[in-house]
Amino acid sequence: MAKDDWAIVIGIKSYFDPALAGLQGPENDAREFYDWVVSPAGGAVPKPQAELILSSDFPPFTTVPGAMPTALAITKAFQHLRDIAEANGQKGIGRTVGRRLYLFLSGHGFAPARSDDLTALLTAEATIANSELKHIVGPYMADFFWRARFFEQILLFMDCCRSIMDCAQLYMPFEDERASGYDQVRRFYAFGARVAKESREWQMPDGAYHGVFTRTLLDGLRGSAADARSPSEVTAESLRDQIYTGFPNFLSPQDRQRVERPEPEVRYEQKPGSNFTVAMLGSRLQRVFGRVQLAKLAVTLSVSPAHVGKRAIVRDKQLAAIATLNLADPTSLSLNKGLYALEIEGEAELVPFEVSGPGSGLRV
Amino acid sequence: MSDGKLVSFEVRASDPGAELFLVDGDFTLVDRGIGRKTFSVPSGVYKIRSRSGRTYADRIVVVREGMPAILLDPIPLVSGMPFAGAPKTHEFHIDAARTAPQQPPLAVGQGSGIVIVVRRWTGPDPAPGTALTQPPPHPGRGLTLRAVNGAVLVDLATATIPDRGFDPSIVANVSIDPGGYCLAATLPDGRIVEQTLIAAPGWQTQVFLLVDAGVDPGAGVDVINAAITYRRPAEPFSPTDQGLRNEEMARRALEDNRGFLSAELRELLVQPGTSPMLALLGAHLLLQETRRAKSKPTPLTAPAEPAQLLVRQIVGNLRQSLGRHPDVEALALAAGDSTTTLQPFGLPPMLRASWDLLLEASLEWPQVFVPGSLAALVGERIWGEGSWLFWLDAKTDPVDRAGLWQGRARELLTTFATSQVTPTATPRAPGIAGAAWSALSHLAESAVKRAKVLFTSRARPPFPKLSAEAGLPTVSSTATFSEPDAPRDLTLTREAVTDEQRKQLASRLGIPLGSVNAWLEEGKQ
Repeated sequence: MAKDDWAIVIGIKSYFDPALAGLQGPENDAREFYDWVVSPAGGAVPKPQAELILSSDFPPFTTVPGAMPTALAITKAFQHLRDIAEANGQKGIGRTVGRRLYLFLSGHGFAPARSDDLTALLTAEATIANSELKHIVGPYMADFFWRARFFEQILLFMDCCRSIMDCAQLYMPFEDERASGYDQVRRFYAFGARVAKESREWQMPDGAYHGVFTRTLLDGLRGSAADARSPSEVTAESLRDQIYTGFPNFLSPQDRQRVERPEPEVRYEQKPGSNFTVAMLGSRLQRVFGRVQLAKLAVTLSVSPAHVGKRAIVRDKQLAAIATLNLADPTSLSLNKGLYALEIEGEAELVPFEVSGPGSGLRV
Repeated sequence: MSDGKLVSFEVRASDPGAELFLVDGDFTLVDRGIGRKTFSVPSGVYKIRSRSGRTYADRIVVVREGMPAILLDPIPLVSGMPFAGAPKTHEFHIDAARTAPQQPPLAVGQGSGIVIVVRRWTGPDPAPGTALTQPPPHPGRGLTLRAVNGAVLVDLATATIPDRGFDPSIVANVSIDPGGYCLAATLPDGRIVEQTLIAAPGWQTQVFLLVDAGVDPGAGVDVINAAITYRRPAEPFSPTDQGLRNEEMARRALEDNRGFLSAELRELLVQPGTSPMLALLGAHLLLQETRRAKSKPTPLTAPAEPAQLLVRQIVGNLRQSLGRHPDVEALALAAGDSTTTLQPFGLPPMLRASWDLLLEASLEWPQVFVPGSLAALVGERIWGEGSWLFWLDAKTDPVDRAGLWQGRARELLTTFATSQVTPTATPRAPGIAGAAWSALSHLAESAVKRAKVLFTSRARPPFPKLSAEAGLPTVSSTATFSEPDAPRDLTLTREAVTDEQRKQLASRLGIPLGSVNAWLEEGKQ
């Protein structure tokens, strides 16, 4: 149950080092994720169990000692969970803290040159010039709670760059703790960029800056990642698929034109039975009566004069007919996310098309 | 409509090393392959994603009984090499690259050659008659070819720019003695980064560099993404050369730890006539594939032969064609080649992956680098990312890199000293009665625990408010979690450093073990 869930949400946009200035989105992203994670219709984490750490929570600073939040200060939030584990252990009920832990980290980041499978979020006191890369290593923190088995599920989301930087001494403040059967803990880690690549943020149509990854993630959690086999659920598998499929829809127009387009990365153990529910959609009543339906997306067909007036059949992913149309220019459709084919009267070949996000369309 | 019967169809990518992914109508990955793959799925609508280098293309297809094979179009590659139809390439760049190896050479030596092509890209060709507001910066500014001792052999900023104002390119064709050289590039902040270029007897080392000024008109030459190949002098550059495309894709795959080795390429790698750069990169990919397979239960493609055997075969071929080459010898060490006569390395290798192999080798063989040689010195000055090995020139780097890693080493030594594990006694195996008693008490214990969990609520104190402590935003104020300070006098700690800890230091710092040992010995005196 979500009453046993916990979350640590971090958005850092202010850094001491002027070389790290210029990020606009991390606080918006962290706030938006926090809003989702504590919302009864979202993660439903009780507010006292969700910690939101933002640059703007602290006074402006001009010196390294004044820069907040630091790696050491942020560690307090993680340490708090360790303290709870300790308290539970002393009560004799085991060191479990809760059911699920959400970790969301947004800001500048890097992949350490000697351990590029890790991703670190730079904290406010970090300075590039003298290689003082103060940081929090997201996967290390997540893996610490995984090994200690303080939770049954760990979800880590990092919207930050993963450029390779030299940082020999990684900040790993906790001593390893291995609980028996920790391999049973489910992990879902997702990153806004692939290793050695940069994540993306831009001023989106709502006028605010957002990370492309966070936008894709939240869009998925709010419904676009619903599992086609069970529309009332966003599962780990369906969220992974949507993060990959939906990411290009949120790229800036310039990034969409790039030959080497940015991509996210999801790490999730793919084996039978390892899938789990990440979010529930619809109200309880709707779920009980099976009334939760996959969100429909608007699709526009631009029809050439040669095809105007012809009959066409829309076929689904298994080629079953789902709608019949009289083609006009344009023709509007409302379809679930997925792959389709259009069979136009008098044409031998089916025209396949994709519906993956807002603004999907096809020219025939 | 799909009747659930499986339909088989073949997908052929234009590149033999292109990754192929088949995704179903729910956007779930169904299957994958490399280069060419026969998929068997129920009829329906599917998406095929193909990836060459860092570029991918999607094609949605209707899968039906009796469908023909699907041939995928070539995917444009972004590269320093001006490939036909590639982004950031002008026709006149292709002409310059094609004629480069035949340009009258600048004679610095003989027996080998280094050809450097640098081209600037700002955007598509301007409309005819459009006048340039000001001449573009020289593409070769800040770029020099140097001897290992630092002497400048060729300054590319002095290379002649052909009579063309827009997006010019320059070519330097240097006839040179076989051996090791450095390509040096000046960064905007004045620091100089260097990389090794090995000139092999009878070969031309061809380097293709791009100045990508599309976004930043002041951009310098992009050495990180340099395309480097070995070609015979008589072999002109061809913009449609599949071999060169394969090399560029292999380089990207190595950098990104991705799949590339199809059965066809695997076979090609061990052929004696295979391009040396493809063989070098391919050997690294084989080793990388082995490492990846160790971390996953089922490798993407099961190698027919153990990687090490193939790598040894490739090493044999490369020794024949290139002679002694640091990258080849690094591979030989990693593949456990018994014919390797251990000779310390004086020159750093060209590839970062080879450097990593040498670092690993240094853990068992601390004398892997010749003391005082360039190879021994660059370890603390490694710079940047990508597939080539770069280091910062000590004279232009204001940071005390030795001080930096030694400071980190001190921190690590302190950690080692404070985390000495006290050995615990291993309990003896109990007798049968003891075992039964132990099992019973364990059962009782867990039953009590389960009952307790049911009736005792978990602790749920709210998070401590960090913002409430904004009045103490100093690092020292959070002393509970402060990192241990390194003691000033490490003499005692240094003496107690075990061989295993020395290896740990070397591997965590990325510094050769020989250098770590030398520093530790120095500290004792």
